[in-house]
Amino acid sequence: MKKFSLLNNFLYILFATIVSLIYLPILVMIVFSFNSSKYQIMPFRNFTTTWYQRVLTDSQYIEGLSNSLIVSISVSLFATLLAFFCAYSLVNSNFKGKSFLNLFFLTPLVVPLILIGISLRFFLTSKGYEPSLFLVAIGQSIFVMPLAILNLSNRMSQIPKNLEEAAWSLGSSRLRSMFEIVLPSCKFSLIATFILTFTFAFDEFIIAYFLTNFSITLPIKIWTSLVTGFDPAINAIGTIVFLTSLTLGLISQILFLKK
Amino acid sequence: MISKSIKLENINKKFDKVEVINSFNLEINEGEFITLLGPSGCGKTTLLRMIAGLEHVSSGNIFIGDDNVTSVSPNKRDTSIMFQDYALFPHMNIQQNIGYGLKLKKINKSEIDRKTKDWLKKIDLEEYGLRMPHEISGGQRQRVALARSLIVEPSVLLLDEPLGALDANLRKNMQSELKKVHSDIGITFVYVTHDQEEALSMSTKIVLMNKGKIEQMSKPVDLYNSPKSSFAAKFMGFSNIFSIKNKDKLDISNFFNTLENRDVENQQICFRSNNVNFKLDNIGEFKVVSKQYFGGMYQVEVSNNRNILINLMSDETISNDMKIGDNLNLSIDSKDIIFLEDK
Repeated sequence: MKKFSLLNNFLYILFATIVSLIYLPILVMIVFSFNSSKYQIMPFRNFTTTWYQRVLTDSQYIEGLSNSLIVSISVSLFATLLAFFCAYSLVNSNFKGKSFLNLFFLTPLVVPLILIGISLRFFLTSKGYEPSLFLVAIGQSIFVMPLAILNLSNRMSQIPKNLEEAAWSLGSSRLRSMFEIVLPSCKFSLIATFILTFTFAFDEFIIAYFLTNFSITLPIKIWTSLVTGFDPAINAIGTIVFLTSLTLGLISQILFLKK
Repeated sequence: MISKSIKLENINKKFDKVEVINSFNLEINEGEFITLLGPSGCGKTTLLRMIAGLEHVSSGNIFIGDDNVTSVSPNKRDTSIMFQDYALFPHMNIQQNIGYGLKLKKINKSEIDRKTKDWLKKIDLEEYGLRMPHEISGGQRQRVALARSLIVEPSVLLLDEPLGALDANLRKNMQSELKKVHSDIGITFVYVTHDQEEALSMSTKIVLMNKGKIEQMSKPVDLYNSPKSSFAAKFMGFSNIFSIKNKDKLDISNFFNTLENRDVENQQICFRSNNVNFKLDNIGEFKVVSKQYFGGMYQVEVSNNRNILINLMSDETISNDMKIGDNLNLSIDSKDIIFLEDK
């Protein structure tokens, strides 16, 4: 018994270490976002919301934020919609090389983002496209597609096949049953997928960095501010982004459980 | 509703390289209640799905009425299918479920409303129209599925073990209800089941299937009383199947001594356990091997020194005191012995 409790204590410590490695830096960021000192050092001086006011009035941050919102929303809309059709055909068909195709759809998950960024930049600029937010949207769509397909095909494979078959037998066409039978059953998963892909696109930096020039997204703006010297406003914006992502992430997980 | 005949012509079906249906021919008359009966894996469900158009045929032709529908998609066929788990649309209420087929036909709303209400009344669920499928019981779901299938007025109704998920009592009720629906509307019913009792009580004709082929096609009475093969006999509950060497000189007084355990060379015969008469007799050739209570009856296994194991049924008043090892003398009426055709 003693040996076991020793092992248990070790596991507790390990768990606590991992959790604090993940969340402690974020906690520090949140605490310092309310610190009036210009420098990120202890002790904590006075409580202030100055940095939040700075962020919300700084036109550069606002522009980055609105660019990010526009890009991320279009990316997640496009990816979710396309993934719905992809997942439908992957789940409902049986052809040679299906598992290969499945794998093929998922590879962007394991390809280093920097490769996606660089190769898209070379490819698209060689076709005469100027780096822009539009290209960022294309790159990020590729990046989030696997997630969306994975989530939606997971849900779709849980829908009994004979629901659609019953509909066909009552006179429904394939297209119609897809929209009237499968789509409503995926309702929550679709919203969850939309939110999930949104948070991934919203946070994404590397692809965006390679594919845009002058109109920048929020992560790029944060990065450039950091390069030119530390700005405490970063803490504030980091806190805002973190809390939003956390909330959206939780909502999407709950929606996935709801089916 | 208009009833149509079905003709299956030389149907073959392979899944990958496994042959499930093998040169299958079947003609079903209009208005018939035909049951495809067989053990799981015999191809009965595949066949039903092919009639519905949910499964492609590898080769062969399917006719519904006069039309060759072999390559017609399921939504353009004059059939309606009912599944074992009912497959009600979970996001639609009962009324919407029943009316879905009419909505597809672009019938105007008030007409759909009227017909749906009619059907809700017919299946005794008038007050349940606004409930969701998960809010009603299994038996009610079953009726909703039936109404949803019939409201589109198909010429053929296909039923894939629709009573399989119900408990025994409810199943009995639904059997007679389905039979009544069939005689009321008169369309062709094709029913798939592995339950011989269900098949016997409902069908006008039974197609007994084995390994993708027709084993025997008969009226229920004929299948029950005169199975043609040992497979059919076993499926119809004959627990005594044996071989005899000399078919032409059957000596009924010495019948049980001429029995051999089944071998493919000789004539096969079968008889029902409740047709065997027996008498307790100290010098009887058969000894009781086991005895199992069956509710009012005992199922008794007896065996002789040649290892011939015979099943018999006995009233509980007679066999309450019967012990393992007791000696019995057996006899049987010659009209109860059925000669099988297979080897």
